[in-house]
Parts: sequence; C-alpha cells; structure tokens
Amino acid sequence: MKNKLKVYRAVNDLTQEDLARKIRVTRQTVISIEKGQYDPSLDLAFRIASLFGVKIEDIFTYEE
Amino acid sequence: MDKRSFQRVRLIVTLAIVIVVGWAVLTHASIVVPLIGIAIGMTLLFVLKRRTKEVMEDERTHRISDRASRTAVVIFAPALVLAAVVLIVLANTVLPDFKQTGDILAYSGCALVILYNIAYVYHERKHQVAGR
Repeated sequence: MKNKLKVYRAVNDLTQEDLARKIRVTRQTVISIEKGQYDPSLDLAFRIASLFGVKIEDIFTYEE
Repeated sequence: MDKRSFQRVRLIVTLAIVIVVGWAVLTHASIVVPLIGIAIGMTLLFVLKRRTKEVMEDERTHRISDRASRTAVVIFAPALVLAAVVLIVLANTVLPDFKQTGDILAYSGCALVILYNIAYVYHERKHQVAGR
C-alpha cells in the first residue's frame, strides 16, 4: 500500500511527534507508515484521514 | 513522566527484580522475599506507566508483540518436546536421574500447547465475523 502521509503532514506543518500525538500512536509507527513498512488498520487510517479532513483513498492507495 | 524516563525506570526496576530473585535463590532465602520484590516492582511499573502521558504502545507494537509471541511458541514448544523425549529416552536407558526432568519438560510442553490453543479459540470466537 502506498501513502502520501508525509506530504499531508508537511502541508499541515506537523512534525512526526505532533502527528503521532494527534492520532494516538508512537512516533515509530508514524515513521513506519511513511516509509511504507507498516500498513495501518482501517481504524487508524480513518483517524488519519479525519485529522486531515480528507478521504482515506486520498492518502492511501492500494497496489498489488 | 516521558517515555524515555519510563524506559530507564523500567530497566532499573527489572534489574532490581532480577537481583532480588537471584539473591533469594543463591542464599536459599524465603520465597516471600522474591514474591514481595516482584509484586512491588510490577506495581511500581504499573503506576508509572499509567502516569506516563506519551503513547507507549499502539496497534503496531501490539502486532509486533503478537508475532513475537507466536514465534516464541513455535520455536519453544517443539524444542521443549524434543528435549523431554531425549531426556526420557536417556532416563529409560543410561541415565535414570533424568526421568523427573524429562517428565516436567513433557508436561510443560503439553501445558504450553494446551494454553496456546485455549487462547487461540478464545480470540477466534471473540473476533468471529457476525452473521456467518
């Protein structure tokens, strides 16, 4: 799964620490998601999308 | 308390528990001593963890923990059974002193597998898809 989390974070002027606090995860999890090493659960993906006020598919795109 | 401080305190408390338990075993002290030490240590860590404001664990750490537990069981259970079989065979042939140790290992292996399966069934039912 690809994602544009880093882009959205930069646009909203958030550090990884800030984002982690807002979506209630550890900073390591934010780093892993940004690097594409970890695919978040649907619940977490919704929290991220909701934070940025966009749809999940705007941030995350599925690829086989 | 921040996450880093908590990790430091956790390391110190863990070392203290190890020292207390090790000392109790070496000096044949009363079993109450290590039990009290463990209880105090666990209570302290529990209280400190609740007071830590930072997120200490999340779904990723839980997933890592799940996989680590499964890997540990998958490696440890067969190793335990193999060791038990070897000891029981040895006990029946050349080294009868190993009989009790072999039995304990065999029963521990069985207990581990049974516990794993009970936990598996419990979680499978808990996360069962409704309306199937």
